[in-house]
Amino acid sequence: MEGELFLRERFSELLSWERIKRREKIIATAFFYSILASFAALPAGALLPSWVTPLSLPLVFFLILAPGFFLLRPGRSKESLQAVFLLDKALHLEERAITAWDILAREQTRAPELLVLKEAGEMITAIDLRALLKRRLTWHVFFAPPLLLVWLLLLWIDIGVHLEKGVGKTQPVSVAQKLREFALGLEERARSEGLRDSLKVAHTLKDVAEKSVRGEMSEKKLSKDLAGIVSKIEVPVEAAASDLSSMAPRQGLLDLKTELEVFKSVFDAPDANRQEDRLGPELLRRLSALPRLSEEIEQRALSVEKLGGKELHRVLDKLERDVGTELDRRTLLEIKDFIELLLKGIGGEETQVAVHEAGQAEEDSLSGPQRVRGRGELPGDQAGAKDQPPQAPSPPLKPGVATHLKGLLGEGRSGSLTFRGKPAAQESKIPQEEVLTSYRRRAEEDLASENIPEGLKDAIKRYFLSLGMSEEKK
Amino acid sequence: MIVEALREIRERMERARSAFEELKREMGRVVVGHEELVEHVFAALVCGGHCLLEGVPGLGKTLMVRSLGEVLNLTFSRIQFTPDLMPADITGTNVLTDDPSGKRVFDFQGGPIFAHIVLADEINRATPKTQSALLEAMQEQTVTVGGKVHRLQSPFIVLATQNPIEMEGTYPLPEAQIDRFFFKLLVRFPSREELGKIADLTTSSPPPSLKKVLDAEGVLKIRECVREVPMAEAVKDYAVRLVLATHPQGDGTVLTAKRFILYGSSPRGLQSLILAAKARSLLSGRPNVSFEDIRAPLLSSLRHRIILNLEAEAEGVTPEKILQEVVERVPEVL
Repeated sequence: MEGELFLRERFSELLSWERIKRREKIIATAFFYSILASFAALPAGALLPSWVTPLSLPLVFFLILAPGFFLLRPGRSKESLQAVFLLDKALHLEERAITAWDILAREQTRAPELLVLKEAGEMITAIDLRALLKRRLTWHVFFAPPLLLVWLLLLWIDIGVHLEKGVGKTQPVSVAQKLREFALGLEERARSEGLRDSLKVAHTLKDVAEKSVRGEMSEKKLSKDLAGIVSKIEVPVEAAASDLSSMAPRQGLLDLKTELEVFKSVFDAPDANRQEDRLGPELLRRLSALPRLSEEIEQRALSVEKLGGKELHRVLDKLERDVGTELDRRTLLEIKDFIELLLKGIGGEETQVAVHEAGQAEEDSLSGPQRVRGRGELPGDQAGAKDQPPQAPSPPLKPGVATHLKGLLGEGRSGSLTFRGKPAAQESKIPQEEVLTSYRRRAEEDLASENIPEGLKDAIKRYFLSLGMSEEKK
Repeated sequence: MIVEALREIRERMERARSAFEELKREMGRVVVGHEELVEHVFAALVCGGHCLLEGVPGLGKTLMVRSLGEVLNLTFSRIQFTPDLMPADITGTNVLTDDPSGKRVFDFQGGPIFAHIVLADEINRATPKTQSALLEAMQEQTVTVGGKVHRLQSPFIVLATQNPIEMEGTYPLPEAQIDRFFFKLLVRFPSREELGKIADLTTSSPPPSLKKVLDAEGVLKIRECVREVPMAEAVKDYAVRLVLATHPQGDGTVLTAKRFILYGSSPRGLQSLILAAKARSLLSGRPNVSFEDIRAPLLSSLRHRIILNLEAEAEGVTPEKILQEVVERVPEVL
């Protein structure tokens, strides 16, 4: 029947319009709640997977919530009934539409039902359904944009309290950032120490790092460049270091360099008491106050008193060159080790070694059995007391207990103990008890943290406790 | 063919509606202030139900029923129930008479129940046995006397009255019997203006004669049309949820119902509600039942089918209050 067909078309139009509105409402609601959820997730940023950035949180939540809202909506037949019900109410049809909707679903219709269909069709024939049943914006639509703006503002000013899973956990630092930090530190060090070759390498590393941080270079290219740099580093032959008191630690060499500079500034001064055949008493006195330098000269089987000015100048110059070369060599080795470690990290191995430990490994390999002790490494001036109880042996380590810590690249924790002493006419003093108490407290704090390997906590605790006990016994 | 069928349907609907309008106009000439009562009684008549009228004496109940019979051209009888009334006084009895040949035979003399409209005045004054005789006739629309079944007239409607005061020495109808009534209608006291009109009508000039608007056949045709009125599933579901909301253990029960109702409405309540809604839609000229058609007869259909508990009696809660809340709380569409 024509009237029936027309009515079916009108109902289809109505239902599709209602579905459009419902979808829009669901999307708006899901969008609002996803922004709300993003607010809630901001403090827990550390717990989220690494691929979820703060800016992508609303999208992630939207993708989770929107399907849920779609699934929670009423079934299709209920949706259709509600749509027709709304039409009845809007046009005051007194349930003609809803009755006609029912009748159309039946196979056979009786005469009274045909009358309902006819009247319903007549009443909705000239109606613009979209204009009649307009979109109704829910409060979610109005609140979502300002909420989004507030959220973006919070992100921009970097608000967010990050929960830390464990003490000492740091944000993963990219390889390029590590390289840049290293290059900057190296550049500064090379400049201050006058290490020419190291400075050149530092400049090269810095350029490469900057490019990588800016995203102009992929990790693959970075690793290639780094491998190229390593292969080009020409480490001077160790023979140049043989004249120096061999295997001197780096700090020792730096001290020697400093003493050299100090002495040379005095030696080269116009009023220096310098003679052709021997040094003046003042210079000798100055030299004797520079232990490393004196030692080095003596080790070269030279008698300082018999050295003339020219001879000494030559020795000093050679020593300065040798020290510079040795420092440069060691720095270059450090650079090589660091780059090799970085390359291993890019390659996917889980090796994390602190930058300083790379240099430290070099120091330790040099120090060996012929380690030279400088003044700073000598034991204290006070003799030990005879009646001190022998130190308790270290407690045996339990099998399987961790005694090592994994090093981490990046900034570590730093701590300090502050002691305040009252200003006095003579030197300020701090009571020993206060110092010991601070040591004990700090030790307990560190013991409670995860910075100390489990297997060594007991030993360390006993040591700090024994400090106080020995003082009490005194 | 479809066009003809549609025209016929429209004509039938129009006839029913216009007859109803005319009925109300005619009844309004003699009965003052009972328009709603007349509508409900007529609706019960076309639905094949019976009504229980509750009101104090002197409110015009008998006048209304008698006038209705006159306007509808239906026979009317009034039975005054008293404690000594016997069932045979209602149903009739076999009387020994002489036939034309002079032979003595038993002839059935029908009682006052053999009318289209029966007014059973103060039904609660008669004994339960007499009450049940009437109620049985209401249910079966037949009377059995001496083993012989006598069919009552069609359409047949009983309008029983109860006096809400003077309950001493009466036999209140049990709930199971009250449930058989289609409607329970409360006859209210007329207002000041209505009293003035009543005074004018009854004390100054003789009562006007009433025009016959319809007859038995017309009423039966309307009755057929009522049952054919289409109703949507959602509207039927609404009626079902309203009835279920009166049950204290139901899912959709309102809080007041849970607290004060002992037993909710029976399925007869739902039948009454739906038939009354169909009648209302037909007599309003609408081809289908609406949600308003379901709400309008709710009080009349269900007030006597809800049994309240003692707490309701103590707090003075009436079935009307509960049903009002049910209407407010139950949504039209879920």
